[in-house]
Amino acid sequence: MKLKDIYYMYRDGFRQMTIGRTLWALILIKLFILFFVIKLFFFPNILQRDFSSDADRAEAVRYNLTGHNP
Amino acid sequence: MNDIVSVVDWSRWQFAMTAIYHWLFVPLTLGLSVIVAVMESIYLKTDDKRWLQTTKFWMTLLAINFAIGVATGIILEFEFGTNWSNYSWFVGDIFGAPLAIEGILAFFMEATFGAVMFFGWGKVSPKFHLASTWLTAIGASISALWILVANSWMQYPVGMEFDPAQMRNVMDDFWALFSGVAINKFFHAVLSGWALSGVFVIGVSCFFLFRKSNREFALRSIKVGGWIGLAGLLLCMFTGDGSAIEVTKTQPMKLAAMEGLYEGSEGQSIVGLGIINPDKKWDNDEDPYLFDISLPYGLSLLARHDVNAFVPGIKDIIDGVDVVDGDTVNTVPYSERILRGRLAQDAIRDYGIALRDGNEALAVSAQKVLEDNYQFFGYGYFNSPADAIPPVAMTFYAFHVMVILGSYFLLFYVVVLFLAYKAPAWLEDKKWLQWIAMISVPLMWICSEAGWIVAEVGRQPWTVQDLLPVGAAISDIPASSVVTTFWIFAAVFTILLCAEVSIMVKWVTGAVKKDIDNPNNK
Repeated sequence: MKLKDIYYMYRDGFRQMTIGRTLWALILIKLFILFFVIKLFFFPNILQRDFSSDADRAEAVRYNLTGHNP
Repeated sequence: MNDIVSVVDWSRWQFAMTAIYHWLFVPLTLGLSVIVAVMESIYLKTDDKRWLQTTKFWMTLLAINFAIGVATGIILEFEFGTNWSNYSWFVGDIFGAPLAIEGILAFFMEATFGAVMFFGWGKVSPKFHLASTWLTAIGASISALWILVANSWMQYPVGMEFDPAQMRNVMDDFWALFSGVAINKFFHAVLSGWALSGVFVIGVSCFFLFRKSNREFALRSIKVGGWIGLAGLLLCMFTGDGSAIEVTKTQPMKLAAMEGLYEGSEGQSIVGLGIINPDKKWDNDEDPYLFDISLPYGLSLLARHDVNAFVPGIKDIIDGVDVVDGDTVNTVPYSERILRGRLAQDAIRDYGIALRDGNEALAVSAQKVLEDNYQFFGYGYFNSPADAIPPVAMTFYAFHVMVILGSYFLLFYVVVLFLAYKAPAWLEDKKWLQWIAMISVPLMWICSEAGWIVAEVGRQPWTVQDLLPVGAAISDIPASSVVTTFWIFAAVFTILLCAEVSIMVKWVTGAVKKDIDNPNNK
């Protein structure tokens, strides 16, 4: 299968979709909400955000796990 | 303290909700992809165009489920980094590898072969198309393998060594991840997808029969769905037995909770049906059940494949008592585990001081204490042994719902397949039978979710068995932020689920008005 054929397969596949258009719209909206709204604004990686090196992150976790009993 | 408890609880609820919603979609993809691949194989073998039409119909439902469900699991990974940052760091070296492989593998297999499967009709050779359909099905299962390997590691952590300098577990044996726990869990979960999808196909097919539409198509679908579903269910029971053996060895507290068993015995009976006594505690003399119907020797047989074997209850495990081959064996009692866990925690703290001060002697002695006690590290967070007991009632009821419904579905498959071959007129004409088949569809999902509730609630309070309880794994974040995202997820997932159901219903009800076997019908 040539690259051109792969392109046509996708192109024609998208064009001939009936129910698929709704599904693709749903997929795109969902991915946008997940990655550009929820992940970006609500789900930072706490240790990545708050500490600049792995050594600092390790010490933070050491404190969290041994400094107090949660 | 209250805020910590609140964050833990909300984070657990959030994880549970997102996992439960995610699992609504996954098993149908795992099973329906196999059913579709078998249907297409029959088409290629027989060159009967009706099988092609049948394949395309079910493939559309697979596409709907796939499209709605895809990437819903990624949210769980978001939660690791935000809500469970101590956990993420603590296990990152091990947990990250299978998840990364899953992400890459799933993306490439599903993007390439899935695209050929959905778009490639008439564009590629029939054999290549069939190969793509099978590879999509296999790819989905391989994708599940890595997730289940990661989950199994949390239930039975092996193949790693804790590095107190990095404060994380470092993988030292990749292949150890494929433990008996992981293998059983993988097959049990994937095959449950086959069982679920078989019921889905039968239920939808019976809707066609209910509406007196596409009789041949419906019976054809029932036979394929029925055989694959029955095979999946039988193998699921077999792997469930394997899982019970593994749980007995590696998570005896979970097994005891599944049965509401507080004091074990030799030749231990199993509760077939029962109501848990809410007043029962591990250290009081209340009866564990308000009502129960038990089968003699059942639990010994299930857990140790020996009708006379001893099965420890919650009190036995806490007291550190087990009986092996008739001899009483003292395991480590929970009171001692708590003390040794605290020693391990102190050693980790001392190791950090030694690192900071460059005190090599302290580092060596701390490392020694840690090595001797690390296996009980997580117990150091508990104030009493009761803190290490999972929610017994929820685990008990979820286990029994799964088993009772699983038994019902065995009967269901046998009856439906018998009727499909020997008395198809019953399936076509008996409305009550069609209703039972249609109502069985949501019941199958309840059965499937109940299985996960057993696995995950039964292992509480651990995120990583014996090493990290939920209270220590949590991030230092405000509860309000978790509450906010909980409701966002609840809304997003509910919308997705409603979209899935409504699109599927629209597709099926539209198909009822057509002759599916006619290739001119779009």
